[in-house]
Amino acid sequence: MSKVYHNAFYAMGTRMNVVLPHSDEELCERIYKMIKHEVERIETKLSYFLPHSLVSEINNRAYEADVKVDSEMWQILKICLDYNRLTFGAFDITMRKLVDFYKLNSDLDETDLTSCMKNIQLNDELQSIRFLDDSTKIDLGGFGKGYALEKVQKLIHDSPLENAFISFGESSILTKGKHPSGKAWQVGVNNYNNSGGTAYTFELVDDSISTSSNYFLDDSGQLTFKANVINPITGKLKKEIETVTVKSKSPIEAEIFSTAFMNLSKEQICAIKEKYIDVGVVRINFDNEELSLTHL
Amino acid sequence: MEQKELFEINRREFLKKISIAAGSSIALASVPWLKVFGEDKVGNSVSDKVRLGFIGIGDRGSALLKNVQAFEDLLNVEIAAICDDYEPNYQRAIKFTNGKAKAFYDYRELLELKDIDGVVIATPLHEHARITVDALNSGKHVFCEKAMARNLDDTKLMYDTHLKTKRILQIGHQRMFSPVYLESLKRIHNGEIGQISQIRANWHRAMNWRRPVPKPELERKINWRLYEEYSAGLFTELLSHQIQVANWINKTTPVSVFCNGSINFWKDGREVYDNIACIYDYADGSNFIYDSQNCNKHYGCEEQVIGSKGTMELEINKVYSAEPPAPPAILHLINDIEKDIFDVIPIGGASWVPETAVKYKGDYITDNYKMDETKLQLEAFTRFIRKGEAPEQLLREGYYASVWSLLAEKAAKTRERVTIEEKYRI
Repeated sequence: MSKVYHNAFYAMGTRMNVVLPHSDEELCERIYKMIKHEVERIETKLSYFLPHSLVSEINNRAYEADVKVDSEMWQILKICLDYNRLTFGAFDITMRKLVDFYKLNSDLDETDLTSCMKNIQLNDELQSIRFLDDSTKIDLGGFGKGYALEKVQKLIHDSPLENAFISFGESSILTKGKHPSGKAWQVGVNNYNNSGGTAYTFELVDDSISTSSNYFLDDSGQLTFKANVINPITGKLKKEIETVTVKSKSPIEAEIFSTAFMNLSKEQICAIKEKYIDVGVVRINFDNEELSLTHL
Repeated sequence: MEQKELFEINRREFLKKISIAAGSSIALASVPWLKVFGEDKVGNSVSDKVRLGFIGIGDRGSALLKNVQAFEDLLNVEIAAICDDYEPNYQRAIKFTNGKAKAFYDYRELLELKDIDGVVIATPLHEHARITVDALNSGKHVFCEKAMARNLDDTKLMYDTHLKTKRILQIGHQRMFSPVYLESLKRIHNGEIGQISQIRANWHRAMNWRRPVPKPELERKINWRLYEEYSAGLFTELLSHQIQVANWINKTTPVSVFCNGSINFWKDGREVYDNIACIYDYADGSNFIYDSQNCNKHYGCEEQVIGSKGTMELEINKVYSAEPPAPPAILHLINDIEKDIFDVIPIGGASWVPETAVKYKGDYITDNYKMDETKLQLEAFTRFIRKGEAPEQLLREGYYASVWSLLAEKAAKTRERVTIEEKYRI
């Protein structure tokens, strides 16, 4: 019987499950604690909801003054703005205003409100951020889990562990090595129409995948609620029941692309993919009885 | 808002909670003293009036007196007499009661008053036993601040006198009337946080406990908490609160206690420790781990109840579940790895979210409204007086809290593991 270490904790509004197939429990415990500590550190810094996070400080002050940020936050902001351009505006960290609008107006499915990305001004010299509009807020919700997993990837890479499987809310998976009894980690994308079934299987070796969708399933595979996915370019709600899963060596990239690709056309995704040939994309539409799967 | 009005609002909230608690036999078995709040309405006639005397009107005594004043009219109670042998306190008490209460320097004169139903004692610790025993023997019911007495024999004497005279003896442990603690107890005893393995508690303060003394000869009278003859310091002043909570949660008393103590920071001539660390063990193998010191207040006051399924922090009114539920796919994966099976894990999908969004950051145990438990325990005392009896369990909680505080002091002094002598069991 092979030994496996498992532990889990709450973070970023969901849970992180850490599975380490290794016989040295003390080593695994030490690595687990490092992972937990790092993820909690990132949440404390990037959370939109924690009143003392750096993101909250930026949101509270950046309209009134340039807010100087540390080098880590500076890099994060640069990455987010770069990917906003790369994804034709589909990856957008200023969507909170639209999210709040639809929460308050649940009967509407479109609005005149638009992205506030244009209101973000970065000052390279000062390493500071400024908002040009008082309603602009940043929310790194579509980035944080990927960023945290990228840091976890580094921790595991530097450890003696050969194999590891980390699930962050089941929507973001990070793997190191392979399943001890196989040649890869085989991860199936849940089938919305068939509880417990798999719509598509990824083979992961040192890879990560991220899944975005506009519905939530509970642990038994039952639909718990549908989520508002808003197209930042049009301001409209996405109506089709759909999921997009992106496979990449980089958890950040998987996270950003899965968020962005929910709102991009096949042609736009393919245009991006030309620059990222190692990235795999599977889009599944559940609107009809027969699921429609597109492998891009 | 008027103090009395605020009290009535909070009181109604509390009574609402109690009516919910009363529906649970488990809850009432742990807290039988709550029943009195749901009983008959208080009559307004002169014959229904409960007349109280207050003995010891220092800071704590004043606070107790003002608490009773908040419900004097509402509950047909009268503060009929006051007593303090220290002139400034004596004068202050007269002022507080607008000269209406009969005033005494000697408590024995107060006890001679035939129309006093009960007394509230808030004197220095070493005086509790003598005054309580005299009060009970004079037919008065007694509410005495914790801890009960300076030594074990006096503590037992107080209890025995209560039995002999059949008068009420209630010890002031306000947490037993706190909605947060009551709700916590109910949920802990219902198994919500699983099997309790440890209760950790601390009371850290940054203060020297020393009060200004107008004349040198009053040093020991005013700063009685610093001298062994009168006080056991942190043991009787602070630990006694929290060992009561631990015993209440565990529904039993400890088997033994280890303890260390020292005068580590305030080397100012005091005789009591300013730094203590104790471990109590219970028959089920669980521990109560306690520390208190007076040079740093960062960690403040807290009781952490650690169970197999969760943790409660009672002072800050928070409950935390131990860990998130494992997704079936992860359990499937672990099983596969253990059995060398290679299979697909159906896991990739939308983010899992907890049923309650804030749960993983800790949830409030109960509504976070302002509540003065001290008033409620004093109200209970007046209601017990009307009935002529109080639940024995209420006194047992206070008794064993005092006994095990003093046993911790003994353990610290002897550096030995200390158990309770049979003669002190009740």
